[in-house]
Amino acid sequence: MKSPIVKTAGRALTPFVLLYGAYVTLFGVLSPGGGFPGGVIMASGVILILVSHDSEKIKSLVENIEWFDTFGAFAFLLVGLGGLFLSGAYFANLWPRSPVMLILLDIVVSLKVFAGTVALFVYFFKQEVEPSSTE
Amino acid sequence: MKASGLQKNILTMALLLIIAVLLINGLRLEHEDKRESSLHEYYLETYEDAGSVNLVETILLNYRAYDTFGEVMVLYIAVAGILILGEEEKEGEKR
Amino acid sequence: MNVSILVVLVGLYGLTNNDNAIKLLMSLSVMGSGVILLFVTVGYIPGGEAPLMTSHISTVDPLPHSVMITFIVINLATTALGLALIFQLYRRYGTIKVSEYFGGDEKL
Repeated sequence: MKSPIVKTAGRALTPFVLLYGAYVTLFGVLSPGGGFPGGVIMASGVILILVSHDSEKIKSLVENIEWFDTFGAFAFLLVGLGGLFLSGAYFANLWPRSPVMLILLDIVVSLKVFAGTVALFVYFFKQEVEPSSTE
Repeated sequence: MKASGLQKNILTMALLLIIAVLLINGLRLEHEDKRESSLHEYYLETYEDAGSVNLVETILLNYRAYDTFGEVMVLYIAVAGILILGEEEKEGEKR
Repeated sequence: MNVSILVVLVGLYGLTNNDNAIKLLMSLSVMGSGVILLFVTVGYIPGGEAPLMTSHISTVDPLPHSVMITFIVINLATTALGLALIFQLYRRYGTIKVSEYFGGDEKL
């Protein structure tokens, strides 16, 4: 059973951590940041509420998180293919001199890193440390 | 093959010392004289085509987006491999 | 730059003188930190600031930074996959000592 201090702190901090991750992702073209750090920050928010609460409802939310991982990876491929078909080169800049392409790729990468990190954490969180057979 | 622990430690230290000397000498040669690379100047001239002021982000997602695609795929394959290991172990428990 | 070589060597020493599989993975991570420090140091230009082109300042070389983001992610993937494999080994053999995987007689 978790202490109420841990529960309250996790519940109060998680929205702000998620918001900061979204900010780092979306403003990656104007300030330090980008898809990878933003995705990891958002994943740390979800991990915070996973370790501070034992509720089954939250665990069921991240049950199929690896599908988002797959979606992010192939959306990145689709953006590249869009550049190939519309402009003639793989990952071509479809909107010259405007950061739309970078923001799009940032969002896709942050979704992918977020889902991948949470999936890794959920896998390690479920492990039992006792060996099944000692030989 | 019957080396004691101390002997082995001394041998390792000597090897690490040799590697350190080689690394320091090898890295100094190209490091001292040439600080500015021509690629850096090229990035400074053309970064406005991408529309972003963050040069690291521009290189990562515009100049070298194909590299980033490979990186994303590396992370995806690692996650998939770990989840496949988990699946295998669940099936093993059923049998 | 010499500090980064020192960090790489600390990682290498840990890689050669450990029997614990998790400590081996940690040594790999330490070596990766040394390599990151080395690359960022090589990209430094005297008087340079962070590569944000909001004003006309002289910046450091941005290429090693973007390469190092790739390296950090690959380091994460390697460490996670290695830890999962160590979990499997611990399940099968009940130990995380590398020398005991090969019969247990030969000390590293």
